[in-house]
Amino acid sequence: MTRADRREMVQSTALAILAAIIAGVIVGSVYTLVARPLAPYAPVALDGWWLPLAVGFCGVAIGFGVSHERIRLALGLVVIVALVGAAVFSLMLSLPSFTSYSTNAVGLINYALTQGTLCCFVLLVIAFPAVMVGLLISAWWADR
Amino acid sequence: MRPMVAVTIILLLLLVPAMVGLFLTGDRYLATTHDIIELRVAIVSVCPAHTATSGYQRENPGPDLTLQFQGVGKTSLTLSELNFNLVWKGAPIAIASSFQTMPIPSDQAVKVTVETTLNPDTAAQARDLFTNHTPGVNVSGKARLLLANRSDGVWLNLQDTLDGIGCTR
Repeated sequence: MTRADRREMVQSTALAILAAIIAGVIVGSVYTLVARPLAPYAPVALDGWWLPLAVGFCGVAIGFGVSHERIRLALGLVVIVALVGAAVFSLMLSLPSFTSYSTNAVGLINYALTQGTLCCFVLLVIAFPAVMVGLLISAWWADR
Repeated sequence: MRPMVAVTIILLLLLVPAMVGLFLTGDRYLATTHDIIELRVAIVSVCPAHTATSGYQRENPGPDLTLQFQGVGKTSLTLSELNFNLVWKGAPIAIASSFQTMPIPSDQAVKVTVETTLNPDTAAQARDLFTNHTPGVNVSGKARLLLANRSDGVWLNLQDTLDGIGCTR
């Protein structure tokens, strides 16, 4: 591998990680809008199907973007998406504990962590197959 | 590399509505939490039960309690349910259960009158207590508030006393 190839690989990996973080924030936001604890406060009452739609789209996009030649990176990015999404949701859920009128900060943070774990697993379950689909599309696109 | 750049740009574009949704949700969540903390519930009137001359007659009617809700700042909270006991020396002497849809407007007080029913086992004693305005009768129960979007609402604990509260009907 030449130095130029290595540099391009590092750049594409960094870009893929950035894309995964952005996708994580997006799916975390959508989870926040539709999840039971925060949906009552959302600006719009979104249907629950928006979550698989958004996570599926982000997963397919990342799988396709990374390409079928780097399957391990793509699967690693799924974990990043789920973790970032869960972190966004947990942070949103625990927001009042950072205010002056917080009454039970410890309880709320514990609740946010529990709900965040659930969120992480839900996102993983949807995002893994979506990335696989993205990788398949990428392979089909290359063979075309 | 090129597909990844395209994907990142698309995701960046999607990030904008996601952040707007996140910001608005957080803002309303904090405002609602603040309003629920600041909401004050007080018993402002205790009146003898209406005695209907005809038609539906309540069995063991207790006093009618008027509760005042105030302190909502920015959000829209709706009172949907009230469940409480009137307690004398730790024992419930009357119960109240009321389902209603009563919006609590911002910076305004809302009054709700609830009928109570005396516990049949202690009805005679309870009537004496209310007639003589005996101090020491407390209110213990819950009120359910509905939030803006779909939700099961939140329950508030009601703890108050009837001491020194008269009828202002």
